[in-house]
Amino acid sequence: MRLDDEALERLVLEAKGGDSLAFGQLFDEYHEPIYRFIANRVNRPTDAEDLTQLVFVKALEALPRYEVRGVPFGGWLFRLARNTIIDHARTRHEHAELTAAADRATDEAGPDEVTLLRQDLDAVARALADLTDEQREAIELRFFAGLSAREAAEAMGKQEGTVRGLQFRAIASLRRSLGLDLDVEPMPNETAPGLGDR
Amino acid sequence: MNQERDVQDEHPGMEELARRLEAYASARLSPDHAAAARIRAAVVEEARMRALETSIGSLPHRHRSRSRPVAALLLAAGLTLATAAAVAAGSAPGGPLYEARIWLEAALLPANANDRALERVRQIEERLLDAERAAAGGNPDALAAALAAYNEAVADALAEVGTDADRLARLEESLGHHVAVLEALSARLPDAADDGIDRAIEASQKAVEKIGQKKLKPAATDPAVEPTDKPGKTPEPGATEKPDRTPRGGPSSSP
Repeated sequence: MRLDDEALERLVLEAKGGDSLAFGQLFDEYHEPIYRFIANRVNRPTDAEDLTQLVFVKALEALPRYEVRGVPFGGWLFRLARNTIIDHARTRHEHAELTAAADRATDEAGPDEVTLLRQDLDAVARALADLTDEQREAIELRFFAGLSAREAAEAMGKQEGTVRGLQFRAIASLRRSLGLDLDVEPMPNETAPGLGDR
Repeated sequence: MNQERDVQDEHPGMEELARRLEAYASARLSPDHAAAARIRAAVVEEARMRALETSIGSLPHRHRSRSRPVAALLLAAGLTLATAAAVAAGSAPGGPLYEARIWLEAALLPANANDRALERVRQIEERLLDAERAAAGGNPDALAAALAAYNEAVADALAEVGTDADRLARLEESLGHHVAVLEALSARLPDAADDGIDRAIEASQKAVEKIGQKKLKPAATDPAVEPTDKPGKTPEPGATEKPDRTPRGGPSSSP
């Protein structure tokens, strides 16, 4: 994130006061992480575009009720995104297929892929698909969206320690899957996932 | 970021994993420029419409308590103008009705100085939105037309703002936001669009500088601007901007 907390708080206050340009700047700050978070959970880019727009429209509606001093704005916004994805999956009578990430590997390549090894990206997609839903979400929020553990915890509706644990186990799993770490030691809580959930 | 350090402490040497995840997200999960521009234009327009609805809803009652005949007459006239405005509002930047739309907006400016200054700021923001929509639609001609209209709107607003501290502050703050938005727009668009955007940024920055100079002037040396109650009133001495507040000769293509 490029904005510091003070600038972010000021923008949120201005947006709450009806300043559309301030809201535009909040959009500039968060649209890519929100899009990434959504895109990893839906099958089509057009759905990702529509849902990203919907998240920000919902944010506009809900912003007057948002308390700046309460929860971090990023966590609040991603919670909206998370609920939007869940609603979308319900409406479509389908699960937010996380294995879509693996399927996407065989679809058309983006321009960035010209200089990247496509099989590396496919391997990442498969490794992500092997995670549990919660681990994958923790990774999405941490790495794709750039949220802090506190913000991710707010977005997921869990305690910060729980999210850190999920991230730890997910990272270990990803490293194993990708052949990056052959000597990962298990965490003490490895056999007790979900402890500390709200 | 502490969180990053924490995770790295827990998993020393995990930079390679972070790099691969970022490469994956960048290549397969990030929106392209056109998609981002489309979403932004829609979201900001929604925000602006909501703000407008809120401000209309909070108008003081005294504005609505005219006598019935006058109100009916004004309503009829308003509906006629609103219909015309709606037609003109449908014209996109660069289209045959765009100039007419801008002319009509200028014709409908309120007479009261404060309301008028507020409306001028809204018009600048509308031109900025026009530019964003044009960029989202990938239409360079429309973008150029919207940016040119933006520059004119900035000049008009500056010419009319006078020396009232509140009005100056409002315009200054708005233009400051615009510079940020335009810079973000410049970053998203191909280099070919840079010239027009750079000129708009320059127009905004120069206007901010002039506002700063106006703030420094003692009020007594600027007697002509308070209050500016009617369209076409003489601007303050020394103003280099266009003095005529009324629409300039009508649009080249009438609605």
